[in-house]
Amino acid sequence: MVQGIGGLTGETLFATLGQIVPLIIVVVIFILALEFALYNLLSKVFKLQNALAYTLLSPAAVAILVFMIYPLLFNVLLAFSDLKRDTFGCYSPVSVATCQLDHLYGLDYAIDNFTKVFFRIRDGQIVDWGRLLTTAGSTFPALLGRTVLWTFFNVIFHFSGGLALALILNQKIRLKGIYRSLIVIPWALPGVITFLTWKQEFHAQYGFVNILLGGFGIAPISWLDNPIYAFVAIVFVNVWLGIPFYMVMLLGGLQSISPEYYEAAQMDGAGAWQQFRFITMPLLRPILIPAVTLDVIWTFNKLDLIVVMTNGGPQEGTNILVSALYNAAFGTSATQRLGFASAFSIIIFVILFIFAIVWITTSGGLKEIYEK
Amino acid sequence: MKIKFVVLMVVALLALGSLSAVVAQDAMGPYTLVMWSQDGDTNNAVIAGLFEQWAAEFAPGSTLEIVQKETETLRNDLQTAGLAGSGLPDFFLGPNDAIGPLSDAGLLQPLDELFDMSMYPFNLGAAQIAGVTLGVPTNAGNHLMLMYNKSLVETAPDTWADLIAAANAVEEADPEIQGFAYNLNEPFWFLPFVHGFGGSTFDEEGNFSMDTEAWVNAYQFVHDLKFVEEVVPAECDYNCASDAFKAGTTAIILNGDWAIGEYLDTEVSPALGPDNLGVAPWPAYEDGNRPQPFTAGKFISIPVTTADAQLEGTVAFVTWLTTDAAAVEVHALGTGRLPAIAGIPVEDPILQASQAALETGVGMPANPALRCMWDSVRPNLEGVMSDALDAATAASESQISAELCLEG
Amino acid sequence: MSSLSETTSTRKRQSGLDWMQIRLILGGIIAVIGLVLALLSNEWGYLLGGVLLGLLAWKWQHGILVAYSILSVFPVLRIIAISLRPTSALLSRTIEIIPANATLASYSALFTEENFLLWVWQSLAITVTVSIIGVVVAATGAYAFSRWRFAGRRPGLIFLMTTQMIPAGMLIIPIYVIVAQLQLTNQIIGLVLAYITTAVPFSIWILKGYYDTIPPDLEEAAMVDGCNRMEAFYRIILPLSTPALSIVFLFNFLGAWAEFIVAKVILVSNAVWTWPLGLNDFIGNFNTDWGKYAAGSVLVTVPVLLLFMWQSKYLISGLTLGSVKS
Repeated sequence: MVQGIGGLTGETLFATLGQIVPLIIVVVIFILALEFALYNLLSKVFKLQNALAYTLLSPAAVAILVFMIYPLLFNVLLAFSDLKRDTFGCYSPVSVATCQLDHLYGLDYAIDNFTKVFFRIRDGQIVDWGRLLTTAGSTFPALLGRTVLWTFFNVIFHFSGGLALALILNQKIRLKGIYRSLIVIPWALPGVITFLTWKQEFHAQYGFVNILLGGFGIAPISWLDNPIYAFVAIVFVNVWLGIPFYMVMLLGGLQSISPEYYEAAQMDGAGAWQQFRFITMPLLRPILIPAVTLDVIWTFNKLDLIVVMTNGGPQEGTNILVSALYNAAFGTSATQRLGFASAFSIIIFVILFIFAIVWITTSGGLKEIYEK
Repeated sequence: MKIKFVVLMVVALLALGSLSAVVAQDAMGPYTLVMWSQDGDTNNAVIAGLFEQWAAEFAPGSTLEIVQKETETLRNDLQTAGLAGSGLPDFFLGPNDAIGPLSDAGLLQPLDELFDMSMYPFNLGAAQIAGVTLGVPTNAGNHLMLMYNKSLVETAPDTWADLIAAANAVEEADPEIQGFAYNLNEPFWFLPFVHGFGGSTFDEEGNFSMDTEAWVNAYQFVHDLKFVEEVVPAECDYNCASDAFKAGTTAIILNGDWAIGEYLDTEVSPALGPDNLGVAPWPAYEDGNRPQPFTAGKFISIPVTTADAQLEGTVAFVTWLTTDAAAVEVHALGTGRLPAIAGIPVEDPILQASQAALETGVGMPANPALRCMWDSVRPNLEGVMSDALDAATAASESQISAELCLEG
Repeated sequence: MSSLSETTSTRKRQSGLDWMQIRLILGGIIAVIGLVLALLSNEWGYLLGGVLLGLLAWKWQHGILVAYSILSVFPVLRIIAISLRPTSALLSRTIEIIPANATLASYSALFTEENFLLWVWQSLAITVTVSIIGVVVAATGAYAFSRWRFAGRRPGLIFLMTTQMIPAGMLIIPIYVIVAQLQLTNQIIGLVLAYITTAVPFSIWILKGYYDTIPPDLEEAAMVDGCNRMEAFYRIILPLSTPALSIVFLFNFLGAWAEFIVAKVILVSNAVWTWPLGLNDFIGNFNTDWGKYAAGSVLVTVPVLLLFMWQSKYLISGLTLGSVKS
């Protein structure tokens, strides 16, 4: 059945190289040509002072424009379409399938797509919250609520776990280097393997979690069969995954705090808790705020873990906003409503963006980064 | 400009990559065919063997690449190819419920002109939409039935009470062995229970009728099997049931005819083989009615992109595979599935039992709305099977979400 | 914090050496109880529990750290254990690391029954390409952000920050449609283009952070000596930035190496899969093959893990530098 060794033959080896090598060559030539042309244009024709800066920036700018801005704008266009599985043929450049739409893009589609994210309309009346997926629990407020819970629990546990480990590791103890190397392993493991392995560890019969609980006389739990237990399981795995990041960040922060502060505090008679409260925490703040900001954003957007471990199930009960979005667009239980999903994705982005602006302006956390 | 660049780059690279393929395609005579198959490895191997035999005789040098895909992946991938306008296989083998949505998208070739449809007397309706035939049956059946390991359970249980007693007896004799298991959360395994209580997916007008007493009873029944009788494992998917059955650590399962070939092969299934595998219709409820599995068969369909030599090769091979008496017999015996054409004697006892089980089934409608039923039942069944949803709510929720799905 | 621990240890010393000795003895007793229970019941979990509790009683910091280290390494140990199991024992409740009648059958199956090596090769080709292009594009871009105060700089930096906020779905949907319309489905180039999207902003971010730590005096000195700005960049800044450049390369590599979601959407055919898709298939498909999954996981994880542990201090400082420290 399988050719060569593990599917690798001279032919398949070169088939891949035949795609990759020309790509790299084309990109390099393109970058050089772009920089050369742009530099001459800006410095000699326009006599710009910062010509070199713009030139150096241009490859990145083009990459971001082509691979990010253009797709994002295209996403907005898709929100004005009725693209779904049954209409794929209409939007295909090489029309294989038949098309039953009279127009491809229109405001009517956009209104329909955005409305459906929130409401279910029947005969011009709002009858209920809209269902983003199949079940009654897959409404926008329900998913938003779950996303907030998910983010809250994860960030809290990431922070407290990471801080506890960092405080212990910051003491004078032996084998510090070894502990640190072992504790950061979750971070280094390829995500898919982490998720699939943990998924199996939560298996009711053969998973280690139940074997361990069984050792304490606890009856086996069908972790991934019940929405609440499944939610606990995915939170656990993501906490496990996120603690090393905080530990490393906070350990770096703790080590940079000068011992003199503590000595001065001791002379003033401050106890351990007071030292922690009034010296350690304030001095960790510059590291903590950006770390928490990034963590909130990452956790809010944590798609791969949920798709691999539960795919939002059972009963669509472990979906957060982004996984519901993924399932609305690509899931097996929906009809690949890509136009609708584009509208949904824009709404999610707006929520995150508002959060970020409010949080960053109130905490002042990222000020230093972009003001420098 | 940037887009042009991407396109240019893409064109250049595609030209490079496809050069060899184009050269190969231009040569006439030997066919290089690609088939997507929803069948398991054992059955695909049977088809691969038959293809070699056919190629040796009629088209020397031809090759067939078989790519195995799960039911939903098959449907997804075919529809995605509709957006790309390319990447479709020359033909694919799958259950008939993929045909509805694919035909909606206009991705399938009408086959009435290409094949002599009078050859296939059974089940053709399951592959016809508005009178147009979109699939050639490779076999009849695709039905779920009761399978048991004769070394653990002597006779097939005839009622659910018998089954529960038999399963408990097995577990008492050896606690390491599971008495009874099946793919708990998969709607395909649940629908027979509904049919047994007199329910169906559509009413006479073709509207969903899922919020009925039969559906409630069925949800309640599968719930009770797990939480009252405690006769099924806490978690069980297809693999859990099938793998354990093959290994001899589960005594009774519910599975489809597609697995028979695998179970007869003692290399794959050390605990089974012709001596130990028993096959029977579903056990009866208290009132004597039996759950009725969906029946249809597997069908080969041809995407609209298959043309010229590819189409010629495909039609020639598929015609031979499904109508040549010797080929049909090899296929039936190798896969343990019932032939789709008349006049092929079935003497194998397992196949006869499978035939008996087939006769208890109900034909699967070719209505494209059927996929909305599958999609809406899944989460509700999950809810019932985790004791989180009561049967009545599950039934009414199934109805609502199926209707919403249809609205799009 | 170091002085905090000093105070506590001084306090312990004041209350006498006996206290530490008592705890040592207590810990020893607990460990021995664990050993006895393990010997009696043949369940080695008791020994592990006893040793951990004993350690906790003796030096609680070590107790916690050892327990947490075990939890961190645990999935790796499990996949190793499962990869060595014979097929008949795949579904078992044992927790030994080297199972009874261990076998390498799962490993050999990867090479004889599956396209495993092809998947890894595809992943490698994609990942290396993305990493190279990411570094090349980001190296000069980040330099511009670090050294010039040009119009559009601030919005540019804020935009780079904002890209972190874009939900994956918001990019996957248009990229999927674009890739499909360009007929790049199943082409690894489609995937490379998609990955570059995420690689570039993050790379610029890390590199800019690093360049900022290099004093501009260095280039100015070189320019006084007759170099022009670009020569100064290539001769002075780039060599000095080797650590940061390799970190960026590695992060792009690690990010693309294990990427699953976009690959799943773009690569459909088994023959062009990357390894995450292949491994997922072992679990998700009709024929669950735990052994193959575990063996494949070990093969793709162990090299990355060794690299990571060998360079962990270096890598971590790089990430800290780029993403958080200003």
